[in-house]
Amino acid sequence: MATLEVHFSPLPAHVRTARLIATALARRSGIDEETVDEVRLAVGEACLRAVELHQQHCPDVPVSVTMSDDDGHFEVRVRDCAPPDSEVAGDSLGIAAADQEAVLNALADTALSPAATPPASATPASATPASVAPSSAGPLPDDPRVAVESAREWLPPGVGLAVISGLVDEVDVESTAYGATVRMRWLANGIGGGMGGGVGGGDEH
Amino acid sequence: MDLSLSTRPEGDRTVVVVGGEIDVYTAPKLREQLVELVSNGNYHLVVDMEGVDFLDSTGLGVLVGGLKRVRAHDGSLRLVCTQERILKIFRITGLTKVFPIHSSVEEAAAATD
Repeated sequence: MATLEVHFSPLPAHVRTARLIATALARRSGIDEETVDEVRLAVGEACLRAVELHQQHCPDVPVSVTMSDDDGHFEVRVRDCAPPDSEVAGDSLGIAAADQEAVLNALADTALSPAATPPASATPASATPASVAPSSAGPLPDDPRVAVESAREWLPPGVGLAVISGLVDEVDVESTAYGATVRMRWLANGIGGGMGGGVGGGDEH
Repeated sequence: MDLSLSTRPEGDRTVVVVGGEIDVYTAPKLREQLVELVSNGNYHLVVDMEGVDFLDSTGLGVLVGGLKRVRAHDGSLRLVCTQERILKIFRITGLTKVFPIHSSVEEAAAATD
Protein backbone atom coordinates (compact mmCIF):
# COMPACT_ATOMS: atom_id res chain seq x y z
CA MET A 1 0.00 0.00 0.00
CA ALA A 2 1.23 3.47 -0.85
CA THR A 3 -0.02 6.59 0.83
CA LEU A 4 0.37 10.29 0.23
CA GLU A 5 -0.86 12.88 2.66
CA VAL A 6 -1.30 16.60 1.97
CA HIS A 7 -2.07 19.33 4.47
CA PHE A 8 -2.98 22.72 3.09
CA SER A 9 -4.15 26.07 4.40
CA PRO A 10 -7.84 26.58 3.61
CA LEU A 11 -7.37 28.72 0.49
CA PRO A 12 -9.04 28.35 -2.92
CA ALA A 13 -5.70 28.19 -4.75
CA HIS A 14 -4.71 25.07 -2.81
CA VAL A 15 -7.88 23.25 -3.79
CA ARG A 16 -6.47 23.21 -7.30
CA THR A 17 -3.15 21.84 -6.09
CA ALA A 18 -4.87 19.06 -4.16
CA ARG A 19 -6.90 18.27 -7.26
CA LEU A 20 -3.79 18.05 -9.41
CA ILE A 21 -2.10 15.69 -6.98
CA ALA A 22 -5.19 13.46 -6.79
CA THR A 23 -5.41 13.39 -10.59
CA ALA A 24 -1.76 12.40 -10.94
CA LEU A 25 -2.04 9.65 -8.33
CA ALA A 26 -5.31 8.33 -9.78
CA ARG A 27 -3.57 7.95 -13.16
CA ARG A 28 -0.70 6.19 -11.49
CA SER A 29 -3.13 3.80 -9.87
CA GLY A 30 -4.26 2.74 -13.31
CA ILE A 31 -7.65 4.43 -13.25
CA ASP A 32 -9.09 5.04 -16.71
CA GLU A 33 -9.18 8.58 -18.06
CA GLU A 34 -12.93 9.02 -17.75
CA THR A 35 -12.83 8.05 -14.09
CA VAL A 36 -9.79 10.26 -13.52
CA ASP A 37 -12.05 13.17 -14.51
CA GLU A 38 -14.50 12.06 -11.83
CA VAL A 39 -11.70 11.82 -9.26
CA ARG A 40 -10.62 15.32 -10.19
CA LEU A 41 -14.09 16.78 -9.76
CA ALA A 42 -15.02 14.79 -6.64
CA VAL A 43 -11.75 15.53 -4.83
CA GLY A 44 -12.08 19.18 -5.82
CA GLU A 45 -15.59 19.37 -4.38
CA ALA A 46 -14.58 17.59 -1.17
CA CYS A 47 -11.61 19.94 -0.69
CA LEU A 48 -13.73 22.96 -1.52
CA ARG A 49 -16.28 21.93 1.09
CA ALA A 50 -13.52 21.49 3.67
CA VAL A 51 -11.97 24.85 2.77
CA GLU A 52 -15.31 26.58 3.29
CA LEU A 53 -15.83 24.88 6.64
CA HIS A 54 -12.31 25.74 7.80
CA GLN A 55 -12.71 29.35 6.73
CA GLN A 56 -15.81 29.55 8.89
CA HIS A 57 -14.67 27.56 11.88
CA CYS A 58 -10.92 27.15 12.00
CA PRO A 59 -9.09 29.28 9.40
CA ASP A 60 -5.68 28.53 10.92
CA VAL A 61 -6.06 24.77 10.72
CA PRO A 62 -4.93 23.06 7.53
CA VAL A 63 -7.23 20.76 5.57
CA SER A 64 -5.94 17.18 5.40
CA VAL A 65 -6.15 14.95 2.37
CA THR A 66 -4.93 11.37 2.41
CA MET A 67 -4.65 9.40 -0.81
CA SER A 68 -3.81 5.75 -0.96
CA ASP A 69 -4.05 2.76 -3.19
CA ASP A 70 -4.60 -0.63 -1.76
CA ASP A 71 -6.24 -3.89 -2.83
CA GLY A 72 -7.00 -2.57 -6.27
CA HIS A 73 -8.67 0.56 -4.98
CA PHE A 74 -7.72 4.21 -5.03
CA GLU A 75 -8.99 5.97 -1.95
CA VAL A 76 -9.10 9.65 -1.04
CA ARG A 77 -10.02 10.91 2.41
CA VAL A 78 -10.62 14.61 3.01
CA ARG A 79 -10.79 15.64 6.67
CA ASP A 80 -12.23 18.86 7.98
CA CYS A 81 -12.26 20.40 11.43
CA ALA A 82 -15.83 21.65 11.52
CA PRO A 83 -18.07 20.83 14.46
CA PRO A 84 -20.76 18.30 13.50
CA ASP A 85 -23.60 20.75 13.94
CA SER A 86 -22.14 23.31 11.53
CA GLU A 87 -24.42 24.07 8.64
CA VAL A 88 -22.44 22.56 5.79
CA ALA A 89 -21.12 19.64 7.77
CA GLY A 90 -24.65 18.94 8.92
CA ASP A 91 -25.72 17.70 5.54
CA SER A 92 -23.33 14.82 5.66
CA LEU A 93 -23.40 12.10 3.08
CA GLY A 94 -25.39 10.13 5.54
CA ILE A 95 -28.19 12.19 4.08
CA ALA A 96 -30.81 10.17 2.34
CA ALA A 97 -30.99 10.23 -1.42
CA ALA A 98 -34.18 12.24 -1.00
CA ASP A 99 -32.20 14.98 0.69
CA GLN A 100 -29.69 15.13 -2.12
CA GLU A 101 -32.57 15.37 -4.49
CA ALA A 102 -33.97 18.20 -2.41
CA VAL A 103 -30.65 20.05 -2.62
CA LEU A 104 -30.55 19.67 -6.38
CA ASN A 105 -34.18 20.64 -6.76
CA ALA A 106 -33.44 23.71 -4.68
CA LEU A 107 -30.59 24.53 -7.05
CA ALA A 108 -32.78 24.14 -10.13
CA ASP A 109 -35.56 26.15 -8.49
CA THR A 110 -33.11 28.87 -7.59
CA ALA A 111 -31.94 29.08 -11.17
CA LEU A 112 -35.43 29.09 -12.60
CA SER A 113 -37.18 31.36 -10.14
CA PRO A 114 -37.78 34.86 -11.44
CA ALA A 115 -36.49 36.56 -8.32
CA ALA A 116 -33.34 38.54 -8.93
CA THR A 117 -32.14 38.31 -5.37
CA PRO A 118 -30.09 35.45 -3.99
CA PRO A 119 -32.05 32.58 -2.54
CA ALA A 120 -32.61 32.27 1.14
CA SER A 121 -30.21 29.63 2.29
CA ALA A 122 -31.62 26.16 2.66
CA THR A 123 -30.41 26.18 6.25
CA PRO A 124 -31.18 28.79 8.88
CA ALA A 125 -27.52 29.44 9.64
CA SER A 126 -26.44 30.61 6.24
CA ALA A 127 -22.75 30.60 5.49
CA THR A 128 -23.15 33.67 3.33
CA PRO A 129 -23.54 36.98 5.11
CA ALA A 130 -26.14 39.30 3.71
CA SER A 131 -23.41 41.78 2.84
CA VAL A 132 -22.19 39.52 0.04
CA ALA A 133 -25.08 40.25 -2.28
CA PRO A 134 -25.06 39.82 -6.05
CA SER A 135 -25.76 43.51 -6.48
CA SER A 136 -22.26 44.25 -5.21
CA ALA A 137 -20.85 44.50 -8.68
CA GLY A 138 -17.65 46.18 -7.60
CA PRO A 139 -14.22 44.63 -7.80
CA LEU A 140 -13.70 41.53 -5.78
CA PRO A 141 -12.13 41.96 -2.41
CA ASP A 142 -8.80 40.33 -1.78
CA ASP A 143 -10.08 38.41 1.17
CA PRO A 144 -10.09 34.84 -0.16
CA ARG A 145 -12.92 33.95 2.13
CA VAL A 146 -15.19 36.56 0.62
CA ALA A 147 -14.10 35.41 -2.83
CA VAL A 148 -15.29 31.89 -2.07
CA GLU A 149 -18.60 33.09 -0.73
CA SER A 150 -19.36 35.53 -3.49
CA ALA A 151 -18.58 32.93 -6.13
CA ARG A 152 -20.98 30.54 -4.48
CA GLU A 153 -23.71 33.09 -3.99
CA TRP A 154 -26.44 31.11 -5.76
CA LEU A 155 -25.65 27.65 -4.55
CA PRO A 156 -27.69 26.00 -1.84
CA PRO A 157 -25.50 24.35 0.79
CA GLY A 158 -24.86 20.72 0.06
CA VAL A 159 -24.40 21.01 -3.68
CA GLY A 160 -20.78 19.88 -3.38
CA LEU A 161 -21.73 16.70 -1.55
CA ALA A 162 -24.58 16.09 -3.95
CA VAL A 163 -22.11 16.30 -6.84
CA ILE A 164 -19.73 13.93 -5.07
CA SER A 165 -22.42 11.36 -4.40
CA GLY A 166 -23.57 11.66 -8.00
CA LEU A 167 -20.04 10.94 -9.21
CA VAL A 168 -18.63 8.39 -6.80
CA ASP A 169 -20.09 4.96 -6.17
CA GLU A 170 -18.30 4.31 -2.93
CA VAL A 171 -18.50 7.32 -0.65
CA ASP A 172 -19.23 7.91 3.00
CA VAL A 173 -18.85 10.60 5.60
CA GLU A 174 -17.65 9.86 9.08
CA SER A 175 -18.47 12.59 11.58
CA THR A 176 -16.74 13.02 14.90
CA ALA A 177 -16.80 15.78 17.48
CA TYR A 178 -13.69 17.19 15.80
CA GLY A 179 -14.88 17.23 12.23
CA ALA A 180 -15.80 14.93 9.41
CA THR A 181 -13.97 12.79 6.90
CA VAL A 182 -15.29 12.38 3.38
CA ARG A 183 -14.00 9.05 2.09
CA MET A 184 -14.18 8.24 -1.61
CA ARG A 185 -13.07 5.03 -3.25
CA TRP A 186 -12.57 4.00 -6.86
CA LEU A 187 -11.68 0.70 -8.41
CA ALA A 188 -8.17 0.81 -9.85
CA ASN A 189 -7.05 -1.82 -12.29
CA GLY A 190 -3.45 -1.46 -11.31
CA ILE A 191 -1.98 -1.32 -14.81
CA GLY A 192 -0.03 1.74 -13.83
CA GLY A 193 1.91 -0.21 -11.24
CA GLY A 194 0.27 1.63 -8.39
CA MET A 195 1.08 4.88 -6.66
CA GLY A 196 4.09 3.26 -5.07
CA GLY A 197 5.97 3.23 -8.33
CA GLY A 198 6.88 0.02 -10.10
CA VAL A 199 7.47 -0.72 -13.70
CA GLY A 200 6.12 1.69 -16.24
CA GLY A 201 4.11 3.88 -13.88
CA GLY A 202 1.61 5.63 -16.11
CA ASP A 203 2.09 9.05 -14.69
CA GLU A 204 2.73 11.06 -17.80
CA HIS A 205 0.70 14.25 -17.72
CA MET B 1 -4.38 25.93 -16.30
CA ASP B 2 -5.76 29.35 -15.58
CA LEU B 3 -8.99 30.88 -16.77
CA SER B 4 -9.10 32.73 -20.08
CA LEU B 5 -11.94 35.06 -20.99
CA SER B 6 -12.83 37.02 -24.10
CA THR B 7 -16.03 38.53 -25.43
CA ARG B 8 -17.32 39.41 -28.89
CA PRO B 9 -20.65 40.46 -30.34
CA GLU B 10 -22.51 37.99 -32.52
CA GLY B 11 -25.66 39.54 -33.92
CA ASP B 12 -27.74 40.70 -30.97
CA ARG B 13 -25.91 38.31 -28.64
CA THR B 14 -22.69 38.66 -26.75
CA VAL B 15 -20.44 35.63 -26.85
CA VAL B 16 -18.23 34.98 -23.83
CA VAL B 17 -15.46 32.55 -24.74
CA VAL B 18 -14.19 30.78 -21.64
CA GLY B 19 -11.13 28.58 -21.50
CA GLY B 20 -9.21 26.71 -18.82
CA GLU B 21 -10.47 25.86 -15.38
CA ILE B 22 -13.56 27.40 -13.79
CA ASP B 23 -13.14 26.57 -10.14
CA VAL B 24 -13.29 28.19 -6.73
CA TYR B 25 -10.08 30.07 -7.53
CA THR B 26 -11.04 31.46 -10.95
CA ALA B 27 -14.84 31.65 -10.73
CA PRO B 28 -14.77 35.18 -9.27
CA LYS B 29 -13.18 36.43 -12.54
CA LEU B 30 -15.96 34.90 -14.59
CA ARG B 31 -18.50 36.34 -12.19
CA GLU B 32 -16.96 39.77 -12.57
CA GLN B 33 -17.07 39.49 -16.36
CA LEU B 34 -20.74 38.47 -16.40
CA VAL B 35 -21.69 41.21 -13.94
CA GLU B 36 -19.88 43.78 -16.08
CA LEU B 37 -21.56 42.63 -19.30
CA VAL B 38 -25.00 42.85 -17.72
CA SER B 39 -24.22 46.23 -16.18
CA ASN B 40 -23.29 47.44 -19.66
CA GLY B 41 -26.62 46.34 -21.09
CA ASN B 42 -25.64 43.00 -22.62
CA TYR B 43 -28.62 40.86 -21.70
CA HIS B 44 -28.34 38.07 -24.25
CA LEU B 45 -25.26 36.03 -23.50
CA VAL B 46 -23.79 32.94 -25.09
CA VAL B 47 -21.12 31.33 -22.94
CA ASP B 48 -18.85 29.23 -25.12
CA MET B 49 -17.42 26.52 -22.87
CA GLU B 50 -15.73 24.39 -25.50
CA GLY B 51 -12.32 25.45 -24.22
CA VAL B 52 -13.19 24.75 -20.58
CA ASP B 53 -11.08 22.02 -19.12
CA PHE B 54 -12.67 21.82 -15.69
CA LEU B 55 -15.84 23.12 -14.04
CA ASP B 56 -16.77 22.74 -10.38
CA SER B 57 -19.84 23.69 -8.37
CA THR B 58 -18.47 27.19 -7.80
CA GLY B 59 -18.44 27.68 -11.56
CA LEU B 60 -22.00 26.40 -11.74
CA GLY B 61 -22.97 28.93 -9.10
CA VAL B 62 -21.50 31.75 -11.17
CA LEU B 63 -23.35 30.60 -14.29
CA VAL B 64 -26.60 30.39 -12.31
CA GLY B 65 -25.90 33.88 -11.00
CA GLY B 66 -25.35 35.09 -14.58
CA LEU B 67 -28.62 33.52 -15.67
CA LYS B 68 -30.47 35.24 -12.84
CA ARG B 69 -28.95 38.59 -13.78
CA VAL B 70 -29.89 38.46 -17.45
CA ARG B 71 -33.35 37.12 -16.67
CA ALA B 72 -33.95 40.15 -14.49
CA HIS B 73 -33.69 42.10 -17.78
CA ASP B 74 -35.68 39.57 -19.83
CA GLY B 75 -32.42 38.35 -21.25
CA SER B 76 -30.98 34.93 -21.92
CA LEU B 77 -27.89 32.94 -21.11
CA ARG B 78 -27.07 30.02 -23.38
CA LEU B 79 -24.22 27.61 -23.08
CA VAL B 80 -22.15 26.03 -25.81
CA CYS B 81 -20.71 22.72 -24.67
CA THR B 82 -20.20 19.32 -26.26
CA GLN B 83 -17.65 17.94 -23.80
CA GLU B 84 -19.00 14.98 -21.92
CA ARG B 85 -16.94 15.61 -18.79
CA ILE B 86 -18.34 19.13 -18.45
CA LEU B 87 -21.89 18.13 -19.37
CA LYS B 88 -21.80 15.51 -16.64
CA ILE B 89 -21.87 18.03 -13.81
CA PHE B 90 -24.83 19.82 -15.41
CA ARG B 91 -26.66 16.51 -15.55
CA ILE B 92 -25.81 15.49 -11.99
CA THR B 93 -27.06 18.80 -10.65
CA GLY B 94 -30.17 18.90 -12.80
CA LEU B 95 -29.06 22.12 -14.46
CA THR B 96 -29.51 20.70 -17.95
CA LYS B 97 -33.16 21.60 -17.33
CA VAL B 98 -32.18 25.16 -16.52
CA PHE B 99 -29.61 26.15 -19.14
CA PRO B 100 -30.18 25.85 -22.86
CA ILE B 101 -27.07 23.92 -23.98
CA HIS B 102 -26.02 24.10 -27.62
CA SER B 103 -23.43 22.33 -29.71
CA SER B 104 -22.10 25.44 -31.45
CA VAL B 105 -21.98 29.19 -31.03
CA GLU B 106 -23.83 29.59 -34.34
CA GLU B 107 -26.65 27.40 -33.09
CA ALA B 108 -26.83 29.26 -29.78
CA ALA B 109 -26.74 32.66 -31.45
CA ALA B 110 -29.57 31.68 -33.79
CA ALA B 111 -31.71 30.12 -31.05
CA THR B 112 -34.84 31.80 -29.78
CA ASP B 113 -36.99 30.79 -26.87
